[in-house]
Amino acid sequence: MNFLNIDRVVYLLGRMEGNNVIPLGSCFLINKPGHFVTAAHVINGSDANLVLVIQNNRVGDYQDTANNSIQVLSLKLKEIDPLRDTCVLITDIPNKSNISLSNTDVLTPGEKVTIFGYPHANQGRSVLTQQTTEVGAKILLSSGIIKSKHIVLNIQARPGQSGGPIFRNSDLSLVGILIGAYAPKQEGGISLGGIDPQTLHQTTHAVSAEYLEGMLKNE
Amino acid sequence: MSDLSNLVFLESESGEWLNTLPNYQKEIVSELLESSLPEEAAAIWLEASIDTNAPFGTGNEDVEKKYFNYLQDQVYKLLCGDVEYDMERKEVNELVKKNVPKETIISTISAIIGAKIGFAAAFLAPAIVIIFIIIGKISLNAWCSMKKNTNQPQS
Repeated sequence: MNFLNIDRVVYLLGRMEGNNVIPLGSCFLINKPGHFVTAAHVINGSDANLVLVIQNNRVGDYQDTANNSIQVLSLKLKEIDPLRDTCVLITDIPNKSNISLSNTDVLTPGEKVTIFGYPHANQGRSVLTQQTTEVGAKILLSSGIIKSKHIVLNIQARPGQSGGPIFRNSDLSLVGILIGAYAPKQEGGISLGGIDPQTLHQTTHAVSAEYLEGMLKNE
Repeated sequence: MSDLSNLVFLESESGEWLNTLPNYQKEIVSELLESSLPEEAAAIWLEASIDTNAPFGTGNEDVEKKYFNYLQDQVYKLLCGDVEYDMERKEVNELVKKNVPKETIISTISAIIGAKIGFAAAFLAPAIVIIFIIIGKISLNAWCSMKKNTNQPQS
C-alpha cells in the first residue's frame, strides 16, 4: 500500500437527485472486489440512488475545482452496523485496493496517521484532501449501551470527511474510519452559515477499523 | 385480520429469529436485548448516534430520528391486513407455505418494507427481527389488536 494511487481508492459518495449528485461523504475501496467502506451515518440507512463519484482527482496534481465532469457508479448496501457507525457497500466491478486491514489497538498516542477525504463536500467542494496528524488519545465512545473503540485525531475535519480512511504512517495499514468531531450534546445549539461552531476545533473522532472484520466475515 | 395470523412461523423462539442475522448484528442485538426492552433495543438500532460526536456526513444529521414507530406501522400494515400491502402479503404467504428458511422471510420482509419507506434491507432486518420477537411473545392477533388500538385517534 502506498498513497500514489490513493485517488483510485478514496472517492466521494453521493446520492442522485434527478441529474444531480448530492454529496454525502467519503468512502474507500477495500481489498475485496467492488467493496467500499464508509461511515453508516453518511448513508442514513438508505442505499436508494447511492453512487460513487468518479473524478480525475489526483492528490499529487492540481485538482481543477471548476471541472464538474464526473462519472457515477451505483452502489448497494451490503453490511451495516449503525452503532459502530460503519457500513460496507458493493458494486459490480472487479477493482480492489491493497489496503491492509488493522485497528486502533496497534496505535500509541502521538503516533502519526494520514487521513484522506472530501472536506466541505456539503458546500459542493470535491477536492480529495490529504491530512497528516497524530493520534491524540484512544477512547471508548458509547452508542446506547454499546461502547466502541475510537481514536482522537489532533486535527480539524469538516463535513464530507466522514467515511474517509485513516492510515497508520509507520506501515500504511488501515486503522480507522473518520466519523466526526467531538461535540457535547446540548439543547438549543446555534448554527452560523450552516456551520456548528461547536465543531470548529481539533478533536476529530475515528472509529477503529476492527469492526469491519466481523462484517466482512459474513460474506 | 391477516391471513398470516395462523402461520406457525410467528410463534418461533426469539433465538430462531436472532439466528437469521449475520453474527456481528446478532451480537449487538443480543446485547441490546439484555439491557433494554425490545422496543427500546429496536429504536437504538434504527436511531443510533454516538454520544458527544457531531457526524461529518453532509446530511442534516441534527434532525431527530423517529424511525422505530414508522417501521412498526409498516410491519403492522403488512402483517395485520392493510390493503396497501395486499400484494406483498401474498408474496410472503407463498414463501411461508414453501417453508423457506427464516433468513429468507426476514430478508424478504426487510426488502419489501425497505422499498416502501426508502431504507436498505440490511439496515431494517435487525429491527424487524426484534419486532418479530415481540410478536412471538404475545401472538400476532394480540399484537395486531394492540397496534390497532394504539393507532386509533383518541377522542
